[in-house]
Amino acid sequence: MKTLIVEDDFISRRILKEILTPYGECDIAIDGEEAVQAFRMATDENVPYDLVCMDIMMPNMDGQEALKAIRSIEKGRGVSEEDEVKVVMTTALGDPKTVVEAFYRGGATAYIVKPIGKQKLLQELRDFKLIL
Amino acid sequence: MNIESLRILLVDDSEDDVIIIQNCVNGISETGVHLDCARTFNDGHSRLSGSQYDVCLVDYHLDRKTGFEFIREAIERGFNLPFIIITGQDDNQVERLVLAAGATDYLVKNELKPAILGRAIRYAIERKRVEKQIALARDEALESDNAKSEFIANMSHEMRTPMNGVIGMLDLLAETEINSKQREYLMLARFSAKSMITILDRILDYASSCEAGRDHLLTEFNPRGLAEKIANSMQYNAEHKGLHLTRIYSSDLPELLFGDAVSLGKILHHLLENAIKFTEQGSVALSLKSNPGKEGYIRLSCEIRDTGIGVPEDQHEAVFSPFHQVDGSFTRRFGGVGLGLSIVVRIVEKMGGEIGIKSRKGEGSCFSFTLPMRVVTENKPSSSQIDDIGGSVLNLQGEKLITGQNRKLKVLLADDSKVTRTVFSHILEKNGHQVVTANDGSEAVARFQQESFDAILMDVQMPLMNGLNATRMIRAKELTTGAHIPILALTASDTKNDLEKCLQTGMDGYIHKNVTAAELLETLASYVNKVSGGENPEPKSFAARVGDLSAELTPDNDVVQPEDNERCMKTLCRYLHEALEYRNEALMEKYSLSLKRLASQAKSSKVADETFRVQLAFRRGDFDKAALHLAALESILSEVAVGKGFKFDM
Repeated sequence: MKTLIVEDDFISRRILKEILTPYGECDIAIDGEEAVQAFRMATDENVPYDLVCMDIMMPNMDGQEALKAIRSIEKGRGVSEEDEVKVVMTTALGDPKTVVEAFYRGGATAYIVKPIGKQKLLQELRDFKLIL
Repeated sequence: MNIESLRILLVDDSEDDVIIIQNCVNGISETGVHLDCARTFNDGHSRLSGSQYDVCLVDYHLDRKTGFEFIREAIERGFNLPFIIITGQDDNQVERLVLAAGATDYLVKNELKPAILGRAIRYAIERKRVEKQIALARDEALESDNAKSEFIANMSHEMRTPMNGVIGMLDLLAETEINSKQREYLMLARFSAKSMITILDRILDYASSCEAGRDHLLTEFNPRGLAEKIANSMQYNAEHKGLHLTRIYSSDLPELLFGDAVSLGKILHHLLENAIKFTEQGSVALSLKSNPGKEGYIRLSCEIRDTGIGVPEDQHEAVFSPFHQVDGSFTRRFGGVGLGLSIVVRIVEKMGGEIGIKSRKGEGSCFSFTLPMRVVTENKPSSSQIDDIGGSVLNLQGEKLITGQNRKLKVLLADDSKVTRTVFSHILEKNGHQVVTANDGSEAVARFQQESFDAILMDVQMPLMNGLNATRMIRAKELTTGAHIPILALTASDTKNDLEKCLQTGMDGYIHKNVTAAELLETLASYVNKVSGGENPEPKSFAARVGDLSAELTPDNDVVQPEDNERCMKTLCRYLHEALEYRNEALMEKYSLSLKRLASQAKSSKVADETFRVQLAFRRGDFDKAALHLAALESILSEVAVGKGFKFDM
């Protein structure tokens, strides 16, 4: 499983990396802009990500925007719906507006309100059949 | 108030009255008092609009209307000056009517004397001044209250981030090899951290319930299903204490209601949580029933009854105020922040409902509330069903989002007034459009360059850069792409001159700030259709937009000589080698950032991408890969040196 972790907070990055590294290579982007760039490059090089774990509140470009950009890159390359990257949005904000935005307009696959528990995250990945 | 500089407007249709009052006014002072007379209702209003008056005297009878109607209309139109009614009769009824109409005072015709008129005018003006001061003080208090809520919300949010670190790290630590004692300590620490987060959530909830205009999405929902969901989530807590949690739903409860389901859920959650918390034995009962309301609505009535410690009658009111607990002493038995009920009250009031308590000490409590809710009947307008969403985290229980049929637009809204931004965003977002806001013209231009929009709503008067200049800049930038985004002026002005200025600058139209929601949506849609109907330009692919973005990201507009730029990049490459050698991530990030900045100035995405590859590999801890990418980066840069003139890939 190849993962892209998108987080501006250092500790949160570390935690996600520790949790996910046992399952495969983890790249790290520190804001939405970097995330889009990393995603575009990986797609171009034909080594796409299987999972994107992305914070919503970030400087430069926030997670919602980046998610939309990622979906639009996929659309541009004709990626079929079942091959779309799984995206878990993470945030400290649990208010419904953010959640609804992430799902309906952004196309997130799942949504986790921080704190991110290891079991909670792994369960999501099992649900996506990314890990056993 | 210096009476010599007074400007008085008299609205009176009787010749005799005008003469009497003219004499009185002259008697107040020989000089300086300026009296204008309006002889009809309409004349009075146009004079009010035309110039500034300190006080307005209005006859009780005016044409076929009354002086009260004149005043009411004037106040509605925003004229905030003292009005004094001149009347022929004096009785209780007149006095009551005068105050109800918003007049400050009244004078009886046959008692009119200069001294009396002068005093009435002075008093009226003074009273108005005090009123205005009070209103101002109230506004300031509200504003500072809002600022406080915002601060609390921000703080709780800021505190969550480090708490997230604490919990995550504890989780990781728990997976290392530790003995059982250490594990116990860890679990306790984790428990504490979790409680802390619950408290932060509660405070955040409270702060957001204070925030005005913060609405949730209105959805269709099944009231019974919603209550079941909340009750089920509390089941464990209740059983844990040996309490029965019973639910009673009346049979006339409608299948589908339309309203703020999230807030209703919150109310139920807080009330049930409280009931369970303050009940040691017995039961907690939730009941939901439907009372008739005005047409198309019901009054949803809900009761939460417990057999707990109860609330002494003298404290019934106090339990609803924030930070209050019945037992607030240091030895209190029950924890918590004491915000639950005050959150509930605020939400209920905001939803136009009522809440009450019946309780006596030691005899349990019964909290009941009613909310007006729209009933969804079968032949409802087709609201598009949202696709089944994956993920087990979110469960909206079959609630549907309301969406209109029109195309969803992305709108840039530039206005320096927070109120305008809030109101317009609210209307647009409620109708499914996406809104990005800017506080002034320069921000609007920056936003316009970073993202693509379907339309721009632009306030004309803004600090730093006004709407007209911003429009000029945007139109200038469009010259290179040939695009044309609809820009609509947001204006409070109605004068032809102002509006023409907007159009001359390159705006496509205007929307008055007092526009209704329907008009706003219609106008917006019509302009967007007009533009896209003509040429129907393909929306730029996002990749292209990101390309534009990096091109525009040049930190400042200093012209850097290509040679300098190139030399700097090569130097940075050398530094990167050092950072890699010493595995110094902080330095690597710093140099990479500078390199990427230079690369975007030179419009070379090749250099930027390769630098980013170095970064990604380094962050992964794959230093060999990082070295490979760094070598590739150097070869790209040396190619440039050969080619000279800095011809890159874009």
